[in-house]
Amino acid sequence: MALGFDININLLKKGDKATYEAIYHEFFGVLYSLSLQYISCPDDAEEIVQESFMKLWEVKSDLHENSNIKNFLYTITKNHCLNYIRKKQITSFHLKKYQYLEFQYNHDAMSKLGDNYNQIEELSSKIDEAIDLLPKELKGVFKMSRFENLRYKDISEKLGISEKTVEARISKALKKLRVELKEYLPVIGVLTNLLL
Amino acid sequence: MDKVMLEKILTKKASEEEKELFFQAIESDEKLRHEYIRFKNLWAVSSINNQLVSETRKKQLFSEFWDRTKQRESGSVNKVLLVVLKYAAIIFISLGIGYILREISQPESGYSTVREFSAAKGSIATILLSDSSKIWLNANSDLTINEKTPGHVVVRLDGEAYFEIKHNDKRSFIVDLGKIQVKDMGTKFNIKAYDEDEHIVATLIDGKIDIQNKLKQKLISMNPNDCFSFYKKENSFILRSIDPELVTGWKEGKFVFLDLTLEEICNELEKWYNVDITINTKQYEKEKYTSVIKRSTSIKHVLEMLKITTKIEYEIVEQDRGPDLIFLN
Repeated sequence: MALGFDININLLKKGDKATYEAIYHEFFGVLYSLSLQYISCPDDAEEIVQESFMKLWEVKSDLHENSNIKNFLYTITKNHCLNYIRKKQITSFHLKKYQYLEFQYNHDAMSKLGDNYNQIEELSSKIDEAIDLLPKELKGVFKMSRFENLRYKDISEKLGISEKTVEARISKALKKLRVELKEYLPVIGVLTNLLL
Repeated sequence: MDKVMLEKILTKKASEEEKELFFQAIESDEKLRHEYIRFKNLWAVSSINNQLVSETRKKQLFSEFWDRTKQRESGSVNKVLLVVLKYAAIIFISLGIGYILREISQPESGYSTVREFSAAKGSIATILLSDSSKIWLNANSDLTINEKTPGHVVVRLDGEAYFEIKHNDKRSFIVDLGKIQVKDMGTKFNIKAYDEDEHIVATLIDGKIDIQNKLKQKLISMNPNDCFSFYKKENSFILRSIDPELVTGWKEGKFVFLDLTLEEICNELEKWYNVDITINTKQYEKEKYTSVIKRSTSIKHVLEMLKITTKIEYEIVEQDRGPDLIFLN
């Protein structure tokens, strides 16, 4: 989801509330969802992202025309998460080996995420585009399941169709996605393969 | 890679046993590990547009963010500013130790909020109240702020705290220490009231405070530089004059030991450095020491200084978990 407007750096520097509110609403969810994948605790994930915006506020006088705000927020959030994971790994008591390893791999994975938010945004866009190309009934069901985190039962209730139908449509949607996305990135093809 | 298991792991639906097997397998196979990490990141990226935060929640969070921008201050290494948020969790991080504080709201009496704060070992917490009053909380101390009704604030303290309270005629601010209470009249004062100590010490830096008993009867009014010591067992107190810098040195990140025995000094060190000190010699039991040491000094360095003045040998036994053990011989 690309930013629907241009961020006015000057207004950011001045501390304009509306500008901050706009970026916040645009980007908080993304950073939150991303963090949650690696640190599992929703409250802490909220706080980490909150801190990233605070950091933006703190350095606002150093911002200039070419500053990449999204990249800045992304990098800060990533670093906060990495520190958080490390700290939890080191200071938690009674850790089982697999829990220790889990922290380790979350840390390793996140460090490999890519320094540039643009790459992530591109990848995410491609996935969205492919989903948009799905036929209507497939798209609706798939979106509900994937993006609204609804279970098959909830979807079937919402749309008034049987659970089996829901399952079948999602399966079909994923098959189509796999075909669409394979053209763009082989690696996404593997992902949807996985989802099947 | 077992796709079914991978999906379970990524969607967080795997059981403990499944996780154990999975991560053991990854640990021993580098290729598998790389594959897992690649999938993990792909999965994460594909999830970033999941609308997990509702618009209402975002509005709430933004409002808290905006409030925080109004209150942010820069602090030094040893101090972390805590901003009180209304309905959210606060993360307090200092010297590598993480702590999470929560605000508990009690709906019963219609208006009553209880807020708890803690300073972990090895750290000082600064609490900023919405009227710009400040409280510094020393290491290993707990503070509870109970706003019983608007205008009636009661604070409970187990530990040591320094208060800078903005006076407000319409609000009474009381620190409840059990047998005695300190009533603020617009002031800067320091209170040392650890549950395990036998005495409570209140020092007034500036302004005016009253000490009253449990029944709200005034025991004494204090003036700046007065130091009030209350002995819990005997139920008696002493009022004396004192150089307040000596008492509030900890706020600036220093240990201030004034006429303390070795045992008392070790108690302070234990709290700050999170270590366990055993004194194996009776030699210096009755001696009293006075010194001022920066809290950022390492425990090893402190023990070295101790060795130079007292000739006491020390031995540090590091622990994988829990406080390090120190023996003084």
